Amino acid sequence: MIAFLGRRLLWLLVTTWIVVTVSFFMMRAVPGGPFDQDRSVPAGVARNLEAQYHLDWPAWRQYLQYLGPLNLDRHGLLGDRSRVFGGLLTGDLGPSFRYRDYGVNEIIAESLPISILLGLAALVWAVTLGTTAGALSAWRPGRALDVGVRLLVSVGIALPNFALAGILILVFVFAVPLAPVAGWGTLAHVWLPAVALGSPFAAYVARLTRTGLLEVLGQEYIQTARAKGLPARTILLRHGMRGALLPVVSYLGPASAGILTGSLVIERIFAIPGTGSHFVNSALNRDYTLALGVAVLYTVLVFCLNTLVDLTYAVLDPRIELEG
Amino acid sequence: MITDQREMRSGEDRLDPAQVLADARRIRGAGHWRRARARLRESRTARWSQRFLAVAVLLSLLTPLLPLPSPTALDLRALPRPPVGPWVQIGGNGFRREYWELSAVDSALVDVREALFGRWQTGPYLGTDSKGRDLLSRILWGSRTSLLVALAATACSLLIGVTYGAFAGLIGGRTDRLMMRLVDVLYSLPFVFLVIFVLALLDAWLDEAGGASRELVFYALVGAVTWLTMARVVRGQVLALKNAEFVQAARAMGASTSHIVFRHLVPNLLSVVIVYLTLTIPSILLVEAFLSFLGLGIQPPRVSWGLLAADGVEAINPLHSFWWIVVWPAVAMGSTLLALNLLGDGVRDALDPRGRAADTDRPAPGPGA
Repeated sequence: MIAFLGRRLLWLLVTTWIVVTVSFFMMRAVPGGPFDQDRSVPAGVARNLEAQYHLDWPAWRQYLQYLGPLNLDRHGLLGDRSRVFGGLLTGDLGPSFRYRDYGVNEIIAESLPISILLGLAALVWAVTLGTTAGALSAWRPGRALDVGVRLLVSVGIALPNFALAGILILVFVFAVPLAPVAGWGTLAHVWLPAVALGSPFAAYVARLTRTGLLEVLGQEYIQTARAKGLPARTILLRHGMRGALLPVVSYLGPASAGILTGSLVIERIFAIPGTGSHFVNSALNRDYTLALGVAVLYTVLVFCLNTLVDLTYAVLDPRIELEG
Repeated sequence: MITDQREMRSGEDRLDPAQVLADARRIRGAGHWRRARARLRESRTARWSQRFLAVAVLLSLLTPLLPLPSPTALDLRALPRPPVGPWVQIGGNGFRREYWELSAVDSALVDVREALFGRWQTGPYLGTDSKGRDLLSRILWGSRTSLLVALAATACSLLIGVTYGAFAGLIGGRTDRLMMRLVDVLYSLPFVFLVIFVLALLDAWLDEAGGASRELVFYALVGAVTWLTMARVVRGQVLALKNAEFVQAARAMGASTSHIVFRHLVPNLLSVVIVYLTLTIPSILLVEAFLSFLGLGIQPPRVSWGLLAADGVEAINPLHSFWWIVVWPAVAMGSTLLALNLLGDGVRDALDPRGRAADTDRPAPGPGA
């Protein structure tokens, strides 16, 4: 297990380095600086701005400064000897080009807790609703309840979350006012975006649970349990669920990644000041450092999530060997 | 029937070779594809999905010919108009030829439409949006864009994925391991984020290049991020086929390489590719809608379903409920995706009744996940 984690850590470093390097030089190759869209500033001011962000340096020097094997801050090569390392190596993602006087780190520190709260709420909703619906569906296959759940699941998987969000707002904000229209701050602001974000994944979890349960319920140990005269509910919930949840657990990794992706759209719709909306705005405003910083953050996050899921999977099913 | 004859024969000591050959010519076994088609025809949901998609594709192909209002002609004075039934207001004169730069084929079709219907246009059967544009016309024109993106990007991912996977599988050995390692690494990247980053960077270049090439780059990018699973699936199948007994048998019988490739490898690969395509197309539709929704994909004045969904969300306000601007694009997108998914399930069941291929590599719902 230690060796597995070590290998994964190595891959994470390699992957992140490649992403950063390729992105950085693409960023530098793009015509026009980040300040081109502003009101045209006098040439002197522009020069000062460029000097402040070291845009007048050659690309390799900017790259070293961003990555930070040598801290070139302010005084040029080896200027500030008090800190040899800086930049990405110390977790510093540099300044934002659009939000003056803000570092990318500060923006992420402010917005990430919001996104994590929203994502967790969506994940909890997806798993709770999904497993419940899946169990109800597998309870009596072929009956009306099962057919209804499967229909809803098909629709839920097909409907994109932004389309669902629009309909949910129409219903739960205007027709039956149960939630505030948008914004962030109180608990009431959380549930509607979380439902919009989590529901497609809930549909998928329900399908996985149902398939898993039906497969498990055909096994011999379930027949043994039946023969012993255990009540059907106990068999389904205690014996069936344990085996059926394995696919659900392995789905949590892709689901979390998908929820992160979906949060880009949902945060925009509900005007939530999370990392996702900052990322989209930075992409639209050509705030390259912020965009790159968030992309790096998400790379690391998704990688860790997948590793975590692989670990959980191996713990739940000892037959699985850890590879990669 | 066939088994009966075999059983009868098994009792005899000698087979007459001429008789066997004659039988082989006479009895045509139901081939893989014929059986698959029969199974697909049995499934009612798959049948209805096929019909729905056929109508949808036909409508979107014929959109320029239909007497619809222009999808871009603005009417900023009035509030959005709610849907009216055709029995209330069948339509009227007032068609203005306003589009973005249409392709030669499309503008020829619009010429035909003008010759056929003149200035007559349908009423707002699905209502109009917040800028007074006809929603039905926008949804249909948007379906052209979205389906085109889906097709182009799928073709792109098909090309890369099949080539890469088949190459890795055929060569094998260290090259194969290295190529698949690269796929593993790419798998761990959050692709939608990187695509957004790249689109933001390309923005500067593409502004200079203009609309058409911008869309080409967009198709290619979307396709380029969805080829990974295709490559894995194809490689696995090639590896399995390379050592399959019937391929060895064909080789032993002296079949040429091209015969083996086209007669045995391609057909067997094809069904795996088709099964996986049924998963790729809907997910690419979603990615397009997702990126266009965020303002990074298709740009106005062109329309796509993602842009329509964005218009719908923008139109939500506490004073008026313009529900139709939200609901109709959602219905169009949802029903198309639903039909694609259901047809995909049917095709998977038909081509792969034992359910081996796609289940393990099924991508998560939601864009790009």
